[in-house]
Amino acid sequence: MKRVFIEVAVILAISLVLGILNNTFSHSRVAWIGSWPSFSDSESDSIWDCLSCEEGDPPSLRLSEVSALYQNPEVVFLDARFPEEYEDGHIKGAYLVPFEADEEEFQYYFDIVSEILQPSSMIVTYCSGAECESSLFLARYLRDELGYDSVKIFFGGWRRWEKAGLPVSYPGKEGGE
Amino acid sequence: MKDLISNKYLTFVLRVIVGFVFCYAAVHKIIHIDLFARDVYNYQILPGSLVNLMAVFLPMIEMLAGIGLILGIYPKGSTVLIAGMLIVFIVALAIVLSKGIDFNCGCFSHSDRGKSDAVSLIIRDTLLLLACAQIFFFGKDFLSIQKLRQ
Repeated sequence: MKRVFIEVAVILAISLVLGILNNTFSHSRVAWIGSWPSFSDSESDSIWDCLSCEEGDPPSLRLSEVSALYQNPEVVFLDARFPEEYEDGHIKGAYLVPFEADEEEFQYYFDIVSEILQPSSMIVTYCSGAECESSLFLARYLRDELGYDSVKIFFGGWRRWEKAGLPVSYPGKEGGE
Repeated sequence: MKDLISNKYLTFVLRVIVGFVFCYAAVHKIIHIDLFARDVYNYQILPGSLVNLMAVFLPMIEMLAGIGLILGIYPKGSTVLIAGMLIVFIVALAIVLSKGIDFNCGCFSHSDRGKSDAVSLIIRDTLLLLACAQIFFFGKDFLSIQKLRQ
C-alpha cells in the first residue's frame, strides 16, 4: 500500500510541474486564482438582446463566457464609452477606445491601444449595457475595417460586469479600485 | 467466473481503454485551459477562486495517469488516481442532476455546446470505475513497463 501512495505522490508532483509550465506558456492560460461571478448572479445570465445586430456581426458573449476570457491575460478588453464614463469605473485592465467621441479623440486613444494589439489578438468590446451600441460599432470597425479577426462583444457591458462583482477599476475615485 | 474476471488479457484491455479515455479527455483541456475553466465553473460546485486551479492541474493528472495505465508505469497509483477522479466526477454529476442545471460536461470537447445528459455520464463513469476496480485488484503487470524494469 505504501508503494501505491508513493506512485500517487510522484504522479501528482509531475502533474503539478507540468500544469504550472503549461499555464505559464499556453496561449489559453488563465489567472491562477480565478475571478468568476457568483452562481446566483450567473443563473439569470443569458445573451443580451441586441436590437441593432445583423447577421454576420461579431459574436456576443454571456457573462460566464466573458469572465472565462478575462482569465486569459492576452485577451484585450476595450471600453467603447466616453472618457468620463471610463473614469467613473471600468473593467479592470480594459483600455479606453471611445468610439463615439470625436475623431481626433478616438484616434488618440486608439493609437495607444494599437501598440499592444496584434492581428490575431482576441478582443472583447463593451459599453454601458444592452441598450448602448458603441461596443457593436467598435467591434464592426475593428473587424471589418482594420482586419482584427477575433473580436467579440459583451452586451451586458459595464453594468452587468460591475453587478456581478468582477474585477473593476474606479480611477476617478479615491483609491482607484 | 473468477478466472474470467482475473484474466490478465482482460486487465490489459481495460487498462488500455480506461487510459485512452483519460488521455483523450485531457488533450483538449490542456490545449484550451480557459475554455475548460468555464466548463468547471458551469458545474457551480467549486468556489470561483479554485476553478482555475482545477482547470490547470486536473487535465495533467488525467493525462499522466492515463499514460501510466496504458504503458504500465505506476499502474496501481494511476488506477487509484483515475478511480478517485471518477468518484469526484460522479458526485459532481449527481449534484448537477439534483440542481437541474443545464450544462456541458466538457468531458471530451468544448465545441459541442449542447446539453449533456448527466444520467448517461454517471453510468459511463460507473462502468469506468468498475474497470478500475478490476485493474487494481487483478492487475498482474502484464505487458507493463514496470514489469520489464524488474
